[in-house]
Amino acid sequence: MFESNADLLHMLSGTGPVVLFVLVVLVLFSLLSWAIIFLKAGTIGKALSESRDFLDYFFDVASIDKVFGESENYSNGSLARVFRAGYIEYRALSDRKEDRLAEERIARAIRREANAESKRLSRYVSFLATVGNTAPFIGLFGTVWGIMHSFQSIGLTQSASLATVAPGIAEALVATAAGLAAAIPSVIAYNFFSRQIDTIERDLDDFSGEYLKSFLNELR
Amino acid sequence: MNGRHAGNREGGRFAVAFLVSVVLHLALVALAFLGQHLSGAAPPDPRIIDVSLVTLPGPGSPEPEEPAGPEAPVIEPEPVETVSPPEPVKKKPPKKVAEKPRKNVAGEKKKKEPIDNRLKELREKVGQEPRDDLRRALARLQEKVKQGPPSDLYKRTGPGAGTYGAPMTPYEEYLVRIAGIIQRNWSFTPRLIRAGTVVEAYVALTIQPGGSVSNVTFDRKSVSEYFNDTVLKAIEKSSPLPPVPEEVRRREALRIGLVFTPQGIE
Repeated sequence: MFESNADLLHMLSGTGPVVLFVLVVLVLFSLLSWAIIFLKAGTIGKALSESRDFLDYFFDVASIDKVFGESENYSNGSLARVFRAGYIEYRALSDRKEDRLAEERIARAIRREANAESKRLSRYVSFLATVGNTAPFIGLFGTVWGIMHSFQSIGLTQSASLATVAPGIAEALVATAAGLAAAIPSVIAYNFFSRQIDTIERDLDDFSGEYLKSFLNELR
Repeated sequence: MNGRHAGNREGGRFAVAFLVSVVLHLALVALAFLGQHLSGAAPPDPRIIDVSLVTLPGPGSPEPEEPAGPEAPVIEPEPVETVSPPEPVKKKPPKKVAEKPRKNVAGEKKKKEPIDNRLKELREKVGQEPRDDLRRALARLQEKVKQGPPSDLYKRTGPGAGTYGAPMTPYEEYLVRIAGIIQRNWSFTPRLIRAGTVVEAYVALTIQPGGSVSNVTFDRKSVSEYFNDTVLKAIEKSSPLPPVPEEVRRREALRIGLVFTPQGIE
């Protein structure tokens, strides 16, 4: 019953140390890339949905104090975070009535938070691109190495029959398969997350001005 | 402080995500194994057609087992041979020479109806005969397998061949010695032989008094060409063998038979 399972394990155990090392690296790549995919799916998804909800609330309510109070509920939303940074700066300046200086400082605080938010969202995402680009080549390296050894053994057995050639090549091709299995989800996830991060960054650029305007109106 | 807290929180999230990833990979591997297990263990073996040199009963068969009374007319191309008038050859191009006599004979002696009847008979025979032929061929093969060694060269006497505990004759001692030498020079990987197949090669070889090997023939080849190749290479590599002892030497050269199996040389 378990003959085929044993065959699969046997095939893996029959690979050389280099191919085995390549396989271990690829499995590690796959584990990390999937961990990042899960992490970012949660982070970016929440950032997007909470930002949308926060924006709806922001345009519905006139008082920025109320908006600030409500923003506590959108702790993962990027737009809410930027608003909070601007509001804190605005509060610190509310005693001073020097408009020009206040505008500059609030704008700087908003920009800084927007940058931090952009960095937070895109952290680890570049690793997905790295896996997507390198994993197939690493797998290919393992395959080439395995096939080299396979041909060597053909030379030793002095027989080029399919029975001699096929097992070695099958073992070697496992590395390419593993490389592709690691790379494909990484590339798909990288493209998806990149687009979503772009959307959030555009929103941050667009609404930073709106926030600044609302704070300045309150100051005057 | 907030930044450190946020960093810790993200580290925790990453650890959870990594754990989920590990679980997912393990589940995937388990699913792959389980899938193989549920889908009937091993994938179905591809169709393999073994071509062996078996003589089927026919015009060239050595022994027609059944008296083919009514089948005799099968050898009816006779008219083709008999009717070879040179005249049509002159009149028409040589390509049609073979066809024309048939037409002529058929046209003169037989009409369409007899031809149809004959065709029917032939079709019936074609439908029936192959089965009998195959059965006969199979039976012959089975007999061949039951027969055992193809010649007396492979019969052994002395220790390990019935007379337990008897001392080895010089001939047997020499045989064991050369089998050991060939065995040492024989390298093949049993993994390359399809599991479940019975692999056995009967090889006869002549050893000259000086020990050089000649006239290596397969009395019975194994099904694996790879196996046969390795056997031949091992014998080639072992030549020259030790000189044939004088007490063993019957005539000028010694003809012996060895049975090669994946377990070793018998």
